[in-house]
Amino acid sequence: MSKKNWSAGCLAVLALLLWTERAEAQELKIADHAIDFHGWYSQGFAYSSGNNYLTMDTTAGSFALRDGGINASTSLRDNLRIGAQVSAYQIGQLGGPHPRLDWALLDYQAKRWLGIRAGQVKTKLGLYSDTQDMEMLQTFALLPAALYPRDTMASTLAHRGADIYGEIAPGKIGRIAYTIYVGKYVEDPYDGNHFASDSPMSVFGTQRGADIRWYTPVRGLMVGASYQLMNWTFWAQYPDGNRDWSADVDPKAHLTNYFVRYSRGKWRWEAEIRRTVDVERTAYSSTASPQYADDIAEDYSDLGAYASVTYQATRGLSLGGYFSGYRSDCSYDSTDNLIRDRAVTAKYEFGSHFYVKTEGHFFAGYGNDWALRGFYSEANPNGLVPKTKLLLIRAGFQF
Amino acid sequence: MIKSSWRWLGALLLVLSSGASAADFVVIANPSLGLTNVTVDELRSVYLRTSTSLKKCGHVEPIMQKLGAAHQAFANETLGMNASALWTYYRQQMFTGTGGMPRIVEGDENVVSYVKKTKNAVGYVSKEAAVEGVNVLKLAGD
Repeated sequence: MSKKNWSAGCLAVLALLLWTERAEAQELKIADHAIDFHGWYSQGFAYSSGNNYLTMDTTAGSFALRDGGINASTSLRDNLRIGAQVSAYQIGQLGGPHPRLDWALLDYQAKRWLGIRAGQVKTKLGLYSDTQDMEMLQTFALLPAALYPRDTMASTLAHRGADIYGEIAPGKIGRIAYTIYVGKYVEDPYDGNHFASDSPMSVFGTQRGADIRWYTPVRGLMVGASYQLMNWTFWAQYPDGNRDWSADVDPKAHLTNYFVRYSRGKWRWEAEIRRTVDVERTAYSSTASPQYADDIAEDYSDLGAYASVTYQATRGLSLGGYFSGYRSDCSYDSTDNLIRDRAVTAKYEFGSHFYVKTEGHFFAGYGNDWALRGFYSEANPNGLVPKTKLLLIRAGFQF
Repeated sequence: MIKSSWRWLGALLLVLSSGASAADFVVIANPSLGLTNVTVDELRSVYLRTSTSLKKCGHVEPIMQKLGAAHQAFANETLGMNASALWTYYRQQMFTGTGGMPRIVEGDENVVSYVKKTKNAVGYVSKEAAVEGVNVLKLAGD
């Protein structure tokens, strides 16, 4: 999206915001149905020492960090909702003038313990997978990239299929919420996976998973686990443009995620750990000469974890910090497959709609070619260096 | 040694699970619902949008305030989160398509008036509010 278009979009949303402020409600009535509208826009600035981060020219200072979106939803009946959201983002050379569908779904809640959502649905996996693309919902400007990489989030962000969900409260042991889902992979053709590929590529297939959270009798303590099975195929063209190849991920490829959150008063502590085991079992080419189908059994697994704390200092001011670590087991040419990040942040909210965040990151390591967590050799033509300090300022509004 | 550790753990859990102070709010409902009491768990489920109905009376419309001591006490003691965390929770629901926000009505007087005239409405107001024409519900534990 050109700067002009972004500015025009921003002004349009701001006008809508001012109008809704006057109306004191973001809803329109059409044929007796109240349609709720919500949206956001956020602009950022990033400056770093060491490496360029997230494909932005951060060592020189970059404003190429913005996103925005809008949604509409309505209740067709007491327990039947329908809605959709579209958004666009630009982070350096990722994203751009390509609005994408975030979610579009029909949600029927038959009972407290049984509901169904169908359509394109945000994936429930860990504490933040369903909101990882909307920083205005978080205290942090960037979530821990060990689990929530802003540049390669498609596999855990949404799926096209259906969810069954519900909550049970079996007496004194607290509440248990569950989600079970199956759906097709929703690809983002402008993300870090595609940026890092030297030729056209695509990912398609299905994913199935479950997420369970136990809101324990201990006030403010929640523990949970998520699991996802991935049945994907990678397709890519050879750089010469005349031949292609594919690789099927072994059906046993999976992801496990454990998490805990404890909130008490103005404090909130969180910790998560995620392991991805991804075995590319068969590679084949239909156009290579001669044709082949190799059992390459190329193991790939990674491990990410973080611990964070946030504190609501005043009504508008939140402070926070986290430590995250990520290890990509498949080293290939790189000897360094670790990325560690210490982050501190301050977020100030002006009323209900406007906010500004200032955040510092101290990275050690940049991972290898498989890591895809912000550090790209393509965006660092002079080579990657081990340490990066990053200052991030983001301001935005939502309604 | 092990017994002593369990005792310490038990004491810690007891401390962590306590913390509710005397309620600074009362829960009210439209008389047509025929309610006289409600459990904290049921109330939490309709306010956090994990359910749209109460066992005894079916569909209810929860009414929320945005500011004030009654709102803060209700959020803390019934929903188990502070007012700021509650606001974040609703935003996450709205922006992920997993739920909507309860209707916001500001001020005790307006809440009582809205609940009085709206079939199925449930709300909360401060203890001192005049609550004529609505049912005041007794809160039961989980």
